[in-house]
Amino acid sequence: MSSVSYIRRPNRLGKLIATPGGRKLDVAVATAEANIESLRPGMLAEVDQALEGLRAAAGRDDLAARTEVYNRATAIVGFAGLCGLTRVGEVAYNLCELSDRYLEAGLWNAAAVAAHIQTMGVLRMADLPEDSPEAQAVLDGLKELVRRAEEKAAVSEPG
Amino acid sequence: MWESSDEPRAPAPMSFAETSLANLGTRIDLRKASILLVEPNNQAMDVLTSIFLGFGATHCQKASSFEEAQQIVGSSPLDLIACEATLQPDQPDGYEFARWLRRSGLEPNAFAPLILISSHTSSRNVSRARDCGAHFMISKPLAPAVLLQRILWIAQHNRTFVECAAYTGPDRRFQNLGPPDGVPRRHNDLSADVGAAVESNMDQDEIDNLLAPKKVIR
Repeated sequence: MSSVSYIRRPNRLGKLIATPGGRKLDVAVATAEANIESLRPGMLAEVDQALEGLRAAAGRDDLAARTEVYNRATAIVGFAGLCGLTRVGEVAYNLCELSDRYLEAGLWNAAAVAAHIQTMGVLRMADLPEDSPEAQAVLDGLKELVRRAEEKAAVSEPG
Repeated sequence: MWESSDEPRAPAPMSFAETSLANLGTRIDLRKASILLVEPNNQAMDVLTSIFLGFGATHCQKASSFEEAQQIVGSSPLDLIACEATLQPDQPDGYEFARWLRRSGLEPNAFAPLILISSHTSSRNVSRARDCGAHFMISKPLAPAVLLQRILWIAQHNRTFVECAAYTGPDRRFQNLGPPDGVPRRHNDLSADVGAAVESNMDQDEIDNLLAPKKVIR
């Protein structure tokens, strides 16, 4: 049997945070959100740059390019939702899931990846409201793609 | 194995009053907290920094790579670490950083609260974060309210650290869910056996009387 040690350390963070004074929680959150808002132009530029990178990576067919698709998609997820592109972020997350499953299973479906990239391009340019049924229908279709990729990956797994 | 007859007992949870955290829940004071932010993307670092500035933090150290983060950990005491899970390509990632930190032996930083941040919070990645010694994983896009909530949770619940061959980090059994499937109970887990009743069950009237508030007439 291996030994297990339990270690208790003083709660330094708790004591610091609880020091009298500081900011009210709602003020802290509102200030942080206002600070993020000031970064919007830079974040939009990051989304566009990542989309460009995605298009370039999707045009190649090697393992490094496939990994880059995943990495660029994660970059979009990180920024899109913070600069009013929630739908683009959702499609990017879907592409993360899809490419992760493909990479794990040693599979790749270039058409499915391209569909995600084109959709993000359209949603980036189209001025669709957040609750647009058209955008929702597109998202549902892409989620179905991921579900099928998951099924294929499960079938291809050994054992 | 988790069970061992000669292992030290886990200390009892610290009470709320013991830690003097009465101010928690309404305000947050990060002015004196030393915080390490690890993020390879400049724009994402700006986002992370602006959130912590919004929370009132004044001592944020920034690292853009695993090596830089290691250097900062080795040079000054930290109260909180927020680390992106995906670091520079061809370098160890945030999960590796967490694993290294927990086993580094660097006091007090090896025990510092660590939040991993990831754009792709698949169940596999969340499990990796849990098993490498992170306190929490937070998904991008970063929501200040969620990050603040997690920081407050960490501050209020000073989780015991567990050290064994397979894992070093905050106790992963912090919810009342019982041991995971296929893992034996620890010696200090509550027994699964329920003892025999020592008196007869209460009838409904007795239960109602016990629960119903009564006005006391003096």
